[in-house]
Amino acid sequence: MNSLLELKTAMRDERTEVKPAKRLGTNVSFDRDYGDTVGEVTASNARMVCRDVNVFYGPKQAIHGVNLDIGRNEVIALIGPSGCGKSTFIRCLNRMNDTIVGCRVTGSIQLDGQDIYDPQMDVVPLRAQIGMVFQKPNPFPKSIYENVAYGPRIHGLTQNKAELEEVVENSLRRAGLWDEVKDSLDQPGTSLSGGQQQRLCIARTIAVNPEVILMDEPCSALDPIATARIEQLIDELRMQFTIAIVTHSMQQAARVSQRTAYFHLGKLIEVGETAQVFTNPRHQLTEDYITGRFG
Amino acid sequence: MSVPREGHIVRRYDGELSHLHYLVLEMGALALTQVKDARDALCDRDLTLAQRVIAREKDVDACELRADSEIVQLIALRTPVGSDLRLVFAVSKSITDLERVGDEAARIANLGLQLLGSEGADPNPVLLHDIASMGALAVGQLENALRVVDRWDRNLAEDLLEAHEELDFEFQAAFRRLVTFIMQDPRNIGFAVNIVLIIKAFERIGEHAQNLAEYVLYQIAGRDIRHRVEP
Amino acid sequence: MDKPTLLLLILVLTTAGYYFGRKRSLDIVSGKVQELHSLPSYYGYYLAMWVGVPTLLLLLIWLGFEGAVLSRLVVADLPGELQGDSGERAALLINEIRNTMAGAGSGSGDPSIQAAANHYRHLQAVSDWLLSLGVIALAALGGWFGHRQIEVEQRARNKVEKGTMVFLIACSTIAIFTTVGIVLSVVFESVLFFQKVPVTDFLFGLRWSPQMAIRADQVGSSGAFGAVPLFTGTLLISFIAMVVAVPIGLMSAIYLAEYASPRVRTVAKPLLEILAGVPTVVYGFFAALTVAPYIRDLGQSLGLDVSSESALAAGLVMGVMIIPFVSSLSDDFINAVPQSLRDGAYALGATQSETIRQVIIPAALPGIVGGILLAVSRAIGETMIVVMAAGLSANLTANPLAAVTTVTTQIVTLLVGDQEFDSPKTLAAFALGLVLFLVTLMLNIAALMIVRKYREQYE
Repeated sequence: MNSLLELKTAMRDERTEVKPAKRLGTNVSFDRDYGDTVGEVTASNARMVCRDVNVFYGPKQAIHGVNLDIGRNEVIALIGPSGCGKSTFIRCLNRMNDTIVGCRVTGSIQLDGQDIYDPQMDVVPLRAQIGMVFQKPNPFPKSIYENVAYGPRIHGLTQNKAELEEVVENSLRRAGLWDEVKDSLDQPGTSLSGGQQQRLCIARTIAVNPEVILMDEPCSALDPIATARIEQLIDELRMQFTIAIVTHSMQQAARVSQRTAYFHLGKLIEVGETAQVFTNPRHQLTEDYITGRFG
Repeated sequence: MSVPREGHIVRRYDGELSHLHYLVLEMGALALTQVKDARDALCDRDLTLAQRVIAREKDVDACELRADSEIVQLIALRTPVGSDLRLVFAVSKSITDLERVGDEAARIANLGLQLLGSEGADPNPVLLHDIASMGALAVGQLENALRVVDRWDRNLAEDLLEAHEELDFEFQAAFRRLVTFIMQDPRNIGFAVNIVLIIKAFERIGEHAQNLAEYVLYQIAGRDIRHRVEP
Repeated sequence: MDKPTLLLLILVLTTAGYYFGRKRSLDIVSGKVQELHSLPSYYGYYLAMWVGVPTLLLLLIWLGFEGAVLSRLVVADLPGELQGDSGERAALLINEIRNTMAGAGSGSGDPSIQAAANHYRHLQAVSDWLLSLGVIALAALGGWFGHRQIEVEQRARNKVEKGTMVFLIACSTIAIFTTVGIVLSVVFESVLFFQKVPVTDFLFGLRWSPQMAIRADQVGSSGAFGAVPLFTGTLLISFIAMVVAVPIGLMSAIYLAEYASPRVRTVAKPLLEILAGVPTVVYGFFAALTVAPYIRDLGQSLGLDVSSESALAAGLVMGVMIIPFVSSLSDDFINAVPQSLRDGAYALGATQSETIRQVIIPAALPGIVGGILLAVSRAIGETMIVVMAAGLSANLTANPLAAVTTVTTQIVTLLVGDQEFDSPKTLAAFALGLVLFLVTLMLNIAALMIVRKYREQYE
């Protein structure tokens, strides 16, 4: 009970916290040159720090010198027109681009101070630390239980069956799916509805207890009600995880995120508090994009 | 800077936004006419003109209702963001202020009827002089404010806001003169109260004009400059 | 007119019908195409259909019945002593008459046959003449009717579309009816066989020795038609083949689909599929001349008794032959597993082999099983390799080093050489064929059902 109370207090503090200096943004001094990006790319409590990130697909450069911090317990939304590199960028954060032939990443991306592109870095535990949820719900062709248990199994996170069951139940509860599936854990994951499948995928991701969750357009295949459930879930998960979400829906970015980053042609154009970006974007390109003046 | 340079992808959206803008100007023009007529009715002792101002008050209200429903619809259907959102917000606020201007004009006309239409009403012309000068100031500010709204002119808006103390000084001066009159001849007190109320109404109109300029600045610069603390 | 000319005439008339139909439609609206319901060419096709279809039908029907009718007429006109009483004799006579007509000269000595041949020739001419007349009349009638039908509001396009559909249905029906015909003929012959040999003896008999006595007192006069040794032989060889093909095929498929770089893949996959293009007879002599002796020598050096024609040799080579089936189908199904599943597993920190073993293979399993079932049915139906490498002795054994024989091999040997078509020995081939057909049919249906179910799961 006590810890819950503390959590709630913490939540309230977080929500009411106002940062006037940041909101106006004009008098923030940068200790380094962060390229042409407008707005505050650094975060005081950064969990991931990306500096001068470039991504190449063969000879073609997809991302140009992106600097961005992702703060603790924040939801950062990456928006931008199709092909602007936001998905490419988010896939750099857990080295999913490794699986693409001919993809090269330069610059540094740090998770809690450790460079994830260090040659010594093992991607297997890294990806357990940085989970990812995809555009299309992709439950494995296994039962609901096995889907959630998969991650803890391959990483050996649990000692015995009881522990595993606890992890599965916990993850499903946190994903808001437990009440709907607790009687059908042995049913295939693909038998669920689209929104349930996506929540199952989120449960699967949080079952390995990651520090960061990346979401690549998690609601683009879902109806508005299922979308609202996922958004509510994202808001709850924010307390324990750091979340970066790529979305095509600006309204969704506005609803779920605390910070918004606008990408355009592989460059990070503007980043700032979501409320500021959506009421008073400072870069003309951001303004044109969010108001629907080009696509 | 954030004035829409090129249109939205959905062109009807552009049409709806510019129609909102047009509505503000239309309502502004109506309110301005009301203020001018109310002033003229007082200065020329034209009771029928004052009656007409009171009768036209409902047109201003109708205008407000129409604009409000359009704004609500646009918010519901288009969910404006960025400069569009600020435009809609500024329009909404401006409409409210213009409606108040209309109210003040009608109040001036009403007070004018009381002042001029009562038995043996023949207030000292010296008293009416303040009404004329306050009225001219208020009308001037409102005209300027509408020019600002029309052109989204940032410099003009800032000039207008610089001049915010003019009416205040004028009101204070007129008030002092009125007090002197009352002390000279307490029978003037009936008229004087009416006249104070009238010049107070003109002062309020000037404040609404200031507000309009503030909304325009908010809309084009994205900064909320209301209630700012003077350095 | 003879028939080829007539066919040409029909084509010419049909083409003419097209042009007249087109012209007629244009004339009706005096060139204003928009006023017509359909494009002018559709009116052309419409009229062409009215000319071509009835005449072609008439030609086909005429061709179908002409021979029989003419023969009957000629035979009826023969002198009484030649007519005889049995149908077989009549058939012989007709043959003779036709030969005489063709000038082959056999049996032309008989004047009455000669006369009959002349009669036949005369009737043939009359028939051709009648047919020509009928075709022209029908074409004219159809043309006139179709021509009259063409109006502004006439829905020529819809009717032409319907006609096209009927034509396509007819084409597909031909394929279906051919299959049904084959099945029925096999079934009828099998029924004849089962009248002579009981079904239970055939299906459960343990001895296969398909000969029939020509003389009643011959040694071993009674043949034995117990097909169990054949079934076990088939199963043994198929099993050996699958033991070879499934692991190799599956693993090469996994390599090609998951590990190979695009360049390796573009080279290796066609190379692997070349294996499927090698004629089975080449596999056969490869098995008989290279693999079988090698296995025998190897077995002897190990002190095993290996017959020179062994199930092992045939099974191994057959397995190699089937590898491309398994690998190609499995590769397709592994590739059909959505990339998002791989991403999901990788994003959880699974390694590549974990992803393949625990996510991709389970996802592709139904498809892979379907592919393997198809390969099994191919193995069961395979003939050439087994004929050449597995031997002909119907041993009931599970020893892969012994010679065995299979259903298909026995069908071949039963039907090679001069045959009596009513002896059980020959008819046994049909019974074996029926069993083979049913087994492969069931395997195929099962495979298709599994594959289809899998397809539905991932769109």
